[in-house]
Amino acid sequence: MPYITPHRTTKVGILYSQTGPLAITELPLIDATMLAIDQINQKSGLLNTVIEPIIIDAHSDPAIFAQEAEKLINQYKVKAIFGCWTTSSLQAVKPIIEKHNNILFYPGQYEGFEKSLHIIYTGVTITQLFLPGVSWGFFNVGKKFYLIGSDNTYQKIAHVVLEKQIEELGGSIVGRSYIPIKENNIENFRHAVDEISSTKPELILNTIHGIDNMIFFKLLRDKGISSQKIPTMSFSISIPEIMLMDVNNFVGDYLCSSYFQSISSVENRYFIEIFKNKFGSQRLISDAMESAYCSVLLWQQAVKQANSTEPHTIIEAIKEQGLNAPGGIIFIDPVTLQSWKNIRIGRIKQNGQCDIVWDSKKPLRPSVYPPYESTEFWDAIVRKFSEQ
Amino acid sequence: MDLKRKITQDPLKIIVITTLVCSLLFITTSLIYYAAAHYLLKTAEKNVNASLEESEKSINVYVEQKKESLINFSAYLENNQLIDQLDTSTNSAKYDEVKNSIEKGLNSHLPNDLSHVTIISAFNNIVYTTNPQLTYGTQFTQTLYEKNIYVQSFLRSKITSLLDCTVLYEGQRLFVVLTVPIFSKNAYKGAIQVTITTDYLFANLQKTISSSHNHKLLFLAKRDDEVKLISFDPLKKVVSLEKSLKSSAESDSFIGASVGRKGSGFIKDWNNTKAIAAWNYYPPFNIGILVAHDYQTTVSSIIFMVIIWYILLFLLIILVIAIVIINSITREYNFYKIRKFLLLSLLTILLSVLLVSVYKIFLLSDKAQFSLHNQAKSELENTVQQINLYVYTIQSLAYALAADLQTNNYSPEQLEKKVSEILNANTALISITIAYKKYGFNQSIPLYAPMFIKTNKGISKESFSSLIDYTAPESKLDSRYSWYQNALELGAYWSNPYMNENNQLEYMYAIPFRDDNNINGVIAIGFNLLEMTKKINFSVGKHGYSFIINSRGDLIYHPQVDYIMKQKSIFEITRAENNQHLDALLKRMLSKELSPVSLQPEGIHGYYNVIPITQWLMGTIIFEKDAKPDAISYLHNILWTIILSTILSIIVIIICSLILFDVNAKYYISILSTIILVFSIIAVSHFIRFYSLDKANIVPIFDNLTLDQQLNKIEQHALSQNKQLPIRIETGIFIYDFSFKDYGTMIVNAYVWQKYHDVIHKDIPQQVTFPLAYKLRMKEVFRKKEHDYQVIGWDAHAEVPVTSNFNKYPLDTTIASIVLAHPDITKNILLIPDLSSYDKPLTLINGISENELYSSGFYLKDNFFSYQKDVPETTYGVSEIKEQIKDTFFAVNMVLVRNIANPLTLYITPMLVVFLSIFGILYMMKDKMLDWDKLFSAVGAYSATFFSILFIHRSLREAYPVAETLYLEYLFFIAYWGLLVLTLRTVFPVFDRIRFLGVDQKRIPLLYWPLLLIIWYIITIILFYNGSL
Repeated sequence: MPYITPHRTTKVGILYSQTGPLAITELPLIDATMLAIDQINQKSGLLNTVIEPIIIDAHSDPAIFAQEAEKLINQYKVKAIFGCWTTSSLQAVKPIIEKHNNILFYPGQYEGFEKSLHIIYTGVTITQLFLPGVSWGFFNVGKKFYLIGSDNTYQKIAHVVLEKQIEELGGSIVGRSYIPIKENNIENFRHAVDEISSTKPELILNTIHGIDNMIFFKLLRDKGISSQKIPTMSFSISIPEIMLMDVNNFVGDYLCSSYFQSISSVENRYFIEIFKNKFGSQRLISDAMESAYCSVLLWQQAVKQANSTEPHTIIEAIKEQGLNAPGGIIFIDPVTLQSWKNIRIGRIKQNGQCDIVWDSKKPLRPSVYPPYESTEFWDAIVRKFSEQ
Repeated sequence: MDLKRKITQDPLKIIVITTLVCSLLFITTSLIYYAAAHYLLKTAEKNVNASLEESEKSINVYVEQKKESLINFSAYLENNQLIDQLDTSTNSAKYDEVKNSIEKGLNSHLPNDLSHVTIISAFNNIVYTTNPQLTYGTQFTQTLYEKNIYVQSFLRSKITSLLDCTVLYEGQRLFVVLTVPIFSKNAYKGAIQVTITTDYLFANLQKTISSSHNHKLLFLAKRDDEVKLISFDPLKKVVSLEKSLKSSAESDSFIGASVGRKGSGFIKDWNNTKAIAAWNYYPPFNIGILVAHDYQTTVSSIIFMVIIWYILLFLLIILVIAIVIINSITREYNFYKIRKFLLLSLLTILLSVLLVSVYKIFLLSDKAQFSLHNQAKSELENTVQQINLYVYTIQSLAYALAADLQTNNYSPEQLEKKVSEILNANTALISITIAYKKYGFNQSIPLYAPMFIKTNKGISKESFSSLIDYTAPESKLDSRYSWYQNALELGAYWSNPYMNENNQLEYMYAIPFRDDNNINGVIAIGFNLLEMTKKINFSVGKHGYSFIINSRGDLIYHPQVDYIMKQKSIFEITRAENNQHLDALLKRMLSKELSPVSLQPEGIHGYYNVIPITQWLMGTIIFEKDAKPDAISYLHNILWTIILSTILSIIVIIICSLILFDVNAKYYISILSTIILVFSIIAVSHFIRFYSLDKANIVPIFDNLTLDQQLNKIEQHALSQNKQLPIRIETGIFIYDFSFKDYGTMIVNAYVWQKYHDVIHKDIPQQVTFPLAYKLRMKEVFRKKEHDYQVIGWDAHAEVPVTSNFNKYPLDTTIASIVLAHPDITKNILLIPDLSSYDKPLTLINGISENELYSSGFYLKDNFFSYQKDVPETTYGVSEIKEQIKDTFFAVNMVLVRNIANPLTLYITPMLVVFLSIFGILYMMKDKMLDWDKLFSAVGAYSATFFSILFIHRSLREAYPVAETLYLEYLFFIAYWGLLVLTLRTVFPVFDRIRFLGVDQKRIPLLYWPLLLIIWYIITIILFYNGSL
């Protein structure tokens, strides 16, 4: 049911999956978005109006994402949409947003190989996240890698980037597997874990999405592969998700992310405090949640600067926005509309927090294409995987 | 028509209507002004935004160019496999070959504004570097500490495999650090890191934007996770850290820009100047860029026009009023109304003047503060520039000599000739040493290091190697010889000062010189910075001073040369002086936390600046107590305020009396004016008495700081005259009784003590004297050993002269100075106050009851030590004392303020009675003037009064037989002249018919008191402005 308040309002759409397999990741994003909206409404609203969020469930289905986006723009006349998490849902919504000249704030991880003038990417791109992750692993953990990921466009492209980077660094890949996103994929996992056990990599690079990680890590530990023996560096999983599984299976492994709750800045402490006050002290915060929260604040800044909520004016104003966010400075790149963000590598502790072992200390440029291959090469890769 | 006639017939209405019309015009003009200002400001905002974009573009283009050349250079290294060869080469010939190839590549690929280049291998080893802080072969990440920008940038480029671009703020300059990873044969090989000076870029940028719109460019950075901002003013290269900006709304722009926001609007910069600014975040550098335009200059063009317009309107009103008044007089309009109107106008004008005066009084205090800070800032800036220029000369000489040695192979004789030429041509230089590395000069001589020293007799040549084996690591332990090792290690080395053999404070600048590609030795240039600092003013206000320290806090320069000689750190000094506030302030300055830094409640402020070449830190400390408004102009303003208020009050009384008490108005006017005048005279006298003290030109010593400053001045003077520094003897005094024998002689009973060091004061007689005393009786009463000192105490009874400014009597203040000296004039001795023996605040006098003080006619306001110059006109028969410092006498001072009760009882009250009697006689005689009986009684009464005055006057003169006329004496003169006039008037009745000031003679008693007081008032003011008061 859409959530409507009886005031002079500025309507915005919140489009995430509340049901289906992606709900576990996307539900917290709604909370983070709502936190920022409530924060603005409680202060003084926006341009003398109250922000009215229209929250819609996309049922983890790209087709429904597209359909609901259309509805939000046409029926509810929203001024901006905050939503989507997977690349497929983003791809489905993108033409709708562009057709109606609206604006979408996308907090998810993203390949980075394209750009739309109507989508503001507040998450991190593959180049921002994967290059530091794999290089740090190469210099600090080991030079033999095993790649495992969900059978998805994003992961496949990510693996190409990782392979290229490992090759550049002079490392080697001892094996790779893609796990189909379906029920009963345990056999695929078992096969991958056997391969890891036999090939003996020095670091596993993991891009498996969501709840599937639980199976993978359980099987790894059952096989006797501890984080001391072969550590794993994960890119597509967050601490809140880990806490829903068995955290003991993850202790000692690495996470590469733009945000960790253990960041000591004043802004982060404030963010954690207001989040826990609202949603309970047991709740944990992921990087995507932080991006979703910042998306609203960036949009608000742009609205204030443009003195209008009209999407076409916001698209211009957003190009000049930056924010001292909980995870460090976020700055919207005026050319690509992607975000300059800080990147960190953390080591998971028993309490679900991370020890930050490396911090970029300054926002990193969001490159649309990784630098060591041509644009055409990357476009061909994206086309190939999208068609598959 | 009817209305028009009515209006024109009534002049007051004309004035009212004109005023109304003008007011309307005022309002309209103001509205137009605001509209115009708004438009101008909007345009200015647009312009600053454009400038900002332009700046960003220029920086982008600049960085992109640099990146491109760096990538080309990395490709060159990769193609030639130079990194691999460097990392693996153990053979020095091979290394040199590869290094040459790298340098060739550097020259052809990299721009020439590079500060330094470092190439780091995949294993974090430094394989090539031009950075003096780094050494070939060491671990890059270990040599520099973890938070270092170089290391962070390197690690980032390594981890992200991307080019990293960041800024480094070092000293006062901003550098761009670019790090590019190198991949070769599909493997990471390391990184090239270049540091680029931004001076040219920013200077050009600033020039472009300031020439087009007069805009100012600033860079802002947030340091670590703390909300501390560092701002860069590219022209001045100032680095300032702003304190707790977070709480201030004005500073939103600064924070916004440094953390990622773009915006524009009004700001107040850190000079508190209003400006229109546009700011944005520049992510590659992780800094904010802010372009500002001065608010005042934007609106100044229209402000001028508006002021002219306002003046015209004001003149119009005045013109109309004048026309109306003239018109009314010629038409015989009711003059009474006009008179009232004129009085009102006068009242308004005087009121405005009064307000201005009052405002000025407040303004003066602010202005004094402001000018003190400005003086500190500008002097600091000037001094830093001068010193920088000076060290630049030294640096250039060293570089030129190094280049010379590299290209020419001099024989020892040629070398001596060459160096002598340099030493003779540059007065600032003391010595030049050329220390060759082992067997560097000649294969047969292990160590060769000629040292050329400038002496009075010419240039002497010594061998540095005979003093110490400078190549041995132990030489680093001695500050005099450590320059060789340090220069090799750091590339260039500025030494701390040390005392050389000729008792000069010598500073060293040392750089290595090469023989083709290898370092062949070190050149050290010794210079005399003190010589140069003599030309610079290092004091601000009475107590403020400047100093120079290095990054560790070691003193490079301090006004007290003694501290530099002892090679003290600034913190040792503050701790020794137990000045915690100063210590705290200095720590904050050294950590470059704030600029300016201040400790508000303690009233100490500090400014610092970095001398760019040496990276020494120059600090200036100022004390708020020095920011007193100029006493004289302050007093002038107060006096004028009192005078104006008096006149205004009298006018108000006249107007009110005329309106309220039409019949008896003159009585009220007379009585009230008299009261006002009495109060006014009391106020004026008070201020004259209170402030006249500041005219005294004595620098008081009451704590260690003030003492240090004075000693420093004395010693600097001695050094400048090439005299020996005096021997100090700590001396204390405690006055337990004093009284005035007569107006010029004071009798003092006191304890005096001195501390003689067993070694330092070994040959000095243990005595002290009061050199100016008429009579002196001294008896040694105690003698005690305290550690290395012998403390000797005397009981002293002395009659000493006191010079006082009696012509101010009874508003006078006396500074009674008791001079102390050591009797042995052949010794160069300087007595210094033994401040450690006193409590704070300094109390030199105690045990004297109020009654005793009262009998002296004064009360004690303050006491302090001082040094007074009194050049003796004789050598006292000892010729060498001319060479010593005998012009500085140590004095104990008491500030004695006249107790007004004494003159009030003795002279002022009797005179008041006299004037009252005259008034009584006048009042009695106002009706019948020609009655003979009354005439005789009147003349008799006048005579009696005259003799009374004469008696009082005589007693005053007897008490103060001075050459000048006393201030109080003028009161007697008024009385004499008054009596004369009244007697004449009584004897010659013709005077009766003369109307005086439009007042009937019968009303003269009404004018008596106001007139008398006005005359007294005028005399006071004239005397004050004449300088007698």
